[in-house]
Amino acid sequence: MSKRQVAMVMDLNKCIGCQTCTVACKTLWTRREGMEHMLWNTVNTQPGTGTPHHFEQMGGGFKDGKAQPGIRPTVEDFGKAWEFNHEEVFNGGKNDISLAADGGKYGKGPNWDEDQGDGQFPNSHYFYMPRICNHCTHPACLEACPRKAISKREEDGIVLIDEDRCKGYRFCQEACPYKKIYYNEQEGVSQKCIFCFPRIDEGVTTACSRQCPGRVRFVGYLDDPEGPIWKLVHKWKVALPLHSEYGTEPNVFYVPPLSPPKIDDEGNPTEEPRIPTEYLEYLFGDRVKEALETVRIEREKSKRGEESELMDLLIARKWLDMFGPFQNHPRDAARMRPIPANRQGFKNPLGGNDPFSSDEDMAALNGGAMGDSKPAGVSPIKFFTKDQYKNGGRS
Amino acid sequence: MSVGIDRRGFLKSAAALMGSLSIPSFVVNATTLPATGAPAVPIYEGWKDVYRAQWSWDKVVRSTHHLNCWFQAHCSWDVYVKDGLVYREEQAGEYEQVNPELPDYNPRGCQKGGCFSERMYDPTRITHPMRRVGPRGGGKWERVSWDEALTDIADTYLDVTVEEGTDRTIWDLGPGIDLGVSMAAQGRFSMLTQSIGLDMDGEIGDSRRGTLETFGKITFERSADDYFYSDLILFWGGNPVYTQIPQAHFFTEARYRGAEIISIAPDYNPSATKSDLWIPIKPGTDGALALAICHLIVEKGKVKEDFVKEQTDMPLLVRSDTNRYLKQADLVEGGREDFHMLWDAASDGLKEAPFRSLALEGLAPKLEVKTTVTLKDGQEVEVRSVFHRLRERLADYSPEKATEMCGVTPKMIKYLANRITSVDKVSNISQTSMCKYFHGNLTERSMALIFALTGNIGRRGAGFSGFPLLTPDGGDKFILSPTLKEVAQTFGKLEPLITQRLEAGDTHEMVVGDLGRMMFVPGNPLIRLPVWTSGTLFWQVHGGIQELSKNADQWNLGNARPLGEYLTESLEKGWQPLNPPRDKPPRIMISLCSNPLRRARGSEKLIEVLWPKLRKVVVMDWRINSTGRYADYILPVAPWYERTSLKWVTPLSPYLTITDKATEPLGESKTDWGIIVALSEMIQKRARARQITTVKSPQGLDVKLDSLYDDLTMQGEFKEGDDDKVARAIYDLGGTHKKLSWDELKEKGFARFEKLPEEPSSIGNMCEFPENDSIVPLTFHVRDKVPYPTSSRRIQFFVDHPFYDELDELLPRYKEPPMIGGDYPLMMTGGKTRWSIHSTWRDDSLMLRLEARPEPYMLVSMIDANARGVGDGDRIRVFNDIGSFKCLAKVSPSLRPGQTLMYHAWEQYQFQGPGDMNSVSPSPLNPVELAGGHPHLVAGVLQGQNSVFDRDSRIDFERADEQEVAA
Repeated sequence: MSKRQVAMVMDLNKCIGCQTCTVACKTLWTRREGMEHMLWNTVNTQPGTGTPHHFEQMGGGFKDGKAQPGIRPTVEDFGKAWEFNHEEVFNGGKNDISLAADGGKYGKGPNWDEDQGDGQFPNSHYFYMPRICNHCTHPACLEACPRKAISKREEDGIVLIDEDRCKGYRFCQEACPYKKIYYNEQEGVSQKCIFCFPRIDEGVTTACSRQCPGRVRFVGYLDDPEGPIWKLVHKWKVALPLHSEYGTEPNVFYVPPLSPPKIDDEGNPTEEPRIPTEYLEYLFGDRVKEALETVRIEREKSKRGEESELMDLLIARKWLDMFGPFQNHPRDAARMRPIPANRQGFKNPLGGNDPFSSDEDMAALNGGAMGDSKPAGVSPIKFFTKDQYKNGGRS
Repeated sequence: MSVGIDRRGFLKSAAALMGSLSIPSFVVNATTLPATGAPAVPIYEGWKDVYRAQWSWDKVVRSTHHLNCWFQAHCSWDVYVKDGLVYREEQAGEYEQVNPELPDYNPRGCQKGGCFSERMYDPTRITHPMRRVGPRGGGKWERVSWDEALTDIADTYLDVTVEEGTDRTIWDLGPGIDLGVSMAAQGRFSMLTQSIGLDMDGEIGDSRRGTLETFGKITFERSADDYFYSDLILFWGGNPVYTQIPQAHFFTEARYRGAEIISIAPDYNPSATKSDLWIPIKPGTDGALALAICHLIVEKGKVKEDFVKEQTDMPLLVRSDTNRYLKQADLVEGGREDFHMLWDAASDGLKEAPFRSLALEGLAPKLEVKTTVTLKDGQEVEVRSVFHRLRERLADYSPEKATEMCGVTPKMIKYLANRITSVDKVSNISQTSMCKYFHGNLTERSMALIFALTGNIGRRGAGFSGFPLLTPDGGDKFILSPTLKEVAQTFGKLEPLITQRLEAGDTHEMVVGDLGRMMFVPGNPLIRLPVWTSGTLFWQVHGGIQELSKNADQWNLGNARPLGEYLTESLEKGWQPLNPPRDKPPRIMISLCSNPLRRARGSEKLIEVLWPKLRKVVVMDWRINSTGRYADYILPVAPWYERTSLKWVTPLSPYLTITDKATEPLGESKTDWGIIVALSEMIQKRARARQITTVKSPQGLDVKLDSLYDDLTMQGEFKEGDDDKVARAIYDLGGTHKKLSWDELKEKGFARFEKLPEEPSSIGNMCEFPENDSIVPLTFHVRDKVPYPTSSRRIQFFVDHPFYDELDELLPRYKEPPMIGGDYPLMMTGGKTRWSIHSTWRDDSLMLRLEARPEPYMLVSMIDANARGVGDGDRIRVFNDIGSFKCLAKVSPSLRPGQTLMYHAWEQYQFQGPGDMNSVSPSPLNPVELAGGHPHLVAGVLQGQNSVFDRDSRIDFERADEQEVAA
């Protein structure tokens, strides 16, 4: 057991499915080679198959305390990072060429059922659900790892895969019932959401929470009675874990979504919310009704002009209040610490004054109309991999 | 602004911090880096170092993305630079709380902005001038030097200008224009050379015509946090979950504050999921629903009479014989044509309506008037109040009748009307959707009527949403003055005119608006201006798009005459601007932040009709797009992280937001300013070499070609590379921001507007910009009684123009959706995509990967798909009488049978085979938009011109021959 547990609450009434969180995570963490397909943070339309597709049918987790068998999701299940033929379109000498993903033979992407949902017109329904690693209190991945490469940090319960110990056996992928672990073939290790530990260590909240324009995500310690997490999870009991029956005690909690009423055959509104309560119970357990009722009652109070601590919390008039003790500005964090050089002989392709600058460099960087393509999804910025570190910057 | 000390500076200061902070251990080794060459890699101590190194950078610069995010513009970002490249960005997140009651604006941003660091280095980026090899659109390019490119363009420009005229060079100004540094260059170029700029507002479908008809202007909107005060928010004609991502939280949070959200839309769209009630409606019939609500408001006696009598034209009298307002000039010799009449209950007689102010000053206007008056010639005529006529009109829209038109049940209509009339503060989110329907003007007028009847205008939390725009007002001064020293002198020439008008009782807003209108009538003797013209008419007439509407008379448009007659009448009377005129073909087109081949409805016609007329097609952009593919030259523009500028925003987020150069322009890229200055320099050089001096514009103005560079740069004061200096000058010339200096603004990244800009495109907001409260547009009218810039000086529901009379649009009414493109069973609707801002990210690999499909797809209903044997993911052919294209079908339970929906901005080359989503949208002109010669139905900056209509294109679809299932 960790001494404390850092946790996240996501308010699904505020999530607009924009995926800024996904992109924030992607640009910060998963741009090295071998990570092209990784989206440690995903957002999916529910009901839907999720990411990886049909993860809820892939097993893992615990039942009655016993580890359950699970399936290891493939890159295709997660959704491959497609390659596009921009170069051919712009500079291939063909007028009638079309831009195509993987030559037109592409599989399902990670957000394949965007805005699809379920039901029938006019009573269709859907909502957005972001997911990250749940940094479980009882992580199935941790138990499954024969290398003991996975651990929970003592100070905050963040679950990390030690990439020095990991040998890429991928039992963790099978064991995780949420299927939030990816495998890096290039580096031969499993990788997943690190709860932005380099940021958290400096008092800066995670990229996905700080960059969320919908102001969906609260971050803090689960046992901090002054913080938003404890209040939403324990005091008001409106934030619920996803699939708690998986037995891993996840530390990401969701405020379940309200929905407009169904419409009857005549075209008039009913009293029944269009998202079936049974479906929400399937996701968030049998306390859903209670949570939704609490939100409804407090909203009514607010409508009457009465005070409601819960509504004030969810509104979060001061944005930084959402992040408990992690309110430092990332830029200031940079001021506080020196920066390792990270050039690795990568030539600066800027301007004529730069002695390294050449057409070749520019083309390599640019991959543009006059240059060669670089692999899709790989950053032009050179990041160290573990091996490159070890070899003094040579691949 | 650069927060970063350079790397070496960092390393030095690192030593001092050692031990006192928890620093990754590898950093210690970094201090031993050699001083020259590529530094060594720090010694690896553990896997965490890999991640810690990823969260490290050399410097941070505050900047943003100055493209046309319109409703979402703009967001302040920190740009993180490493190794001379931008490697990521993260929102600054430093908006101060406006007041403790309101949620703050943090963090703003969206997924597109969040990956621009990838986008700007991806394969679409252009880093050097490129010249076409082989035929246009052939996909072959050669790299050329700036000198080569500009010499060729300058020589062609001189040939065209000398041989054919100054008005043959066209600036295709896309929606990305900044009204900042970029436009400072283009504006000065156009002012000096009298070359033509295309006003794109109508042409991109943002005309907000019904709003213009009703308010005399389109630009007014509240701050997004003002919605937080609303009791009822109607999502009606907007999908803010897609299109207002940075500020959508104010709406979801307003619900927790106690507001109710009702969504009115044909499909259960993403914003409807955030509502308390979704009211499905037949597409294009919203006007009928609005009028039914008005019917109930009047019938139930819920009209806010004080508001209506003072602020609207409803008490004004209209002659039954002429269908025109009764004027003082009708009644007495020497009476004024601009004095309207009403019936005063206090004196039980005719009175002039208040003129200089809306304040009634003891008058008690009667709303319900039908009487006979004696004209000055002794003739007796019947007059009726606008309200009387409206009430009669509304009788046609009982809930029972309206349900036949719009498909909303009477019970639902009554519920909605009841909700609207039983709360204090109603607001709406209606973006630019209605005006993309052919009869959208009528819909907007009908919706505005709800807000006027209930007094929900110009109050905190309550208001009808116009078109949002907020522009710093120093740009015009920079553009129009020969040098900075002559600003006062230049604008001083306008003083007598302004004073005269103000003394005559016109408002400041009216005068500023009219100054903007002068740009559409070149050659005025008072002040030399750039020339703007109607983008829609340019593409229709010179671009050949009007040919697509040759069968428009079969489309049930409701016109009284053939379409062409209205156009001819309008152009002959000078009602709408078209430059160059019909018989003078354009010769050079320079696209600036624009992509018309992606955007223009029916754009394939442009390649067929316009392109052969053009001797040079020049595209300035940082990436290749649909238009770039068909250009002769593509000139590489530095994207936003590589330049310093300022740009318009909107009251929704009332913060002037700057870009600051984080890295040098990549390769040979230049800023827009730099390119236009370099072009003018080359023109001057070539003119001198060719002994060309001065030519005359068609209106007789001197255009000095041999001193163009000197004049454009204010005699060398602002040169290439001086973007920051220009931005500073514009900022200092403006009156909207006084608290921060330009340098302080760059440091901070954003600054709240402090006052209303004195500028034609923004003055319509007519309100204060308080530091500690939300922004409520139109308060100068509603609170301070300043007249509106309409012909009646009031919110106007009776439109007194002959075209409106002819087409029975004097009053709001419902007209059924036409059958544009032929008699086909399905209506093609659309909307802005979540995944791109126009086409800027449309072919971005990451965005495509995160979207439902990586290629164009159409949302279709289950019933329509089943009836055609089409399954989800099937490739379909979409067609009507105009054209066809192929895309994927996405079968959605949220789509209404009979409706199809395609989110916009797919590039032409993203469609397989010929055709694209614009191929089925002929977008015929609406005759009422050709109106002119009227106090407020006239072309002005970003308003009052013809627009485009694609929402009610009629189509059908079938399985494509070659069956390909994507998945």
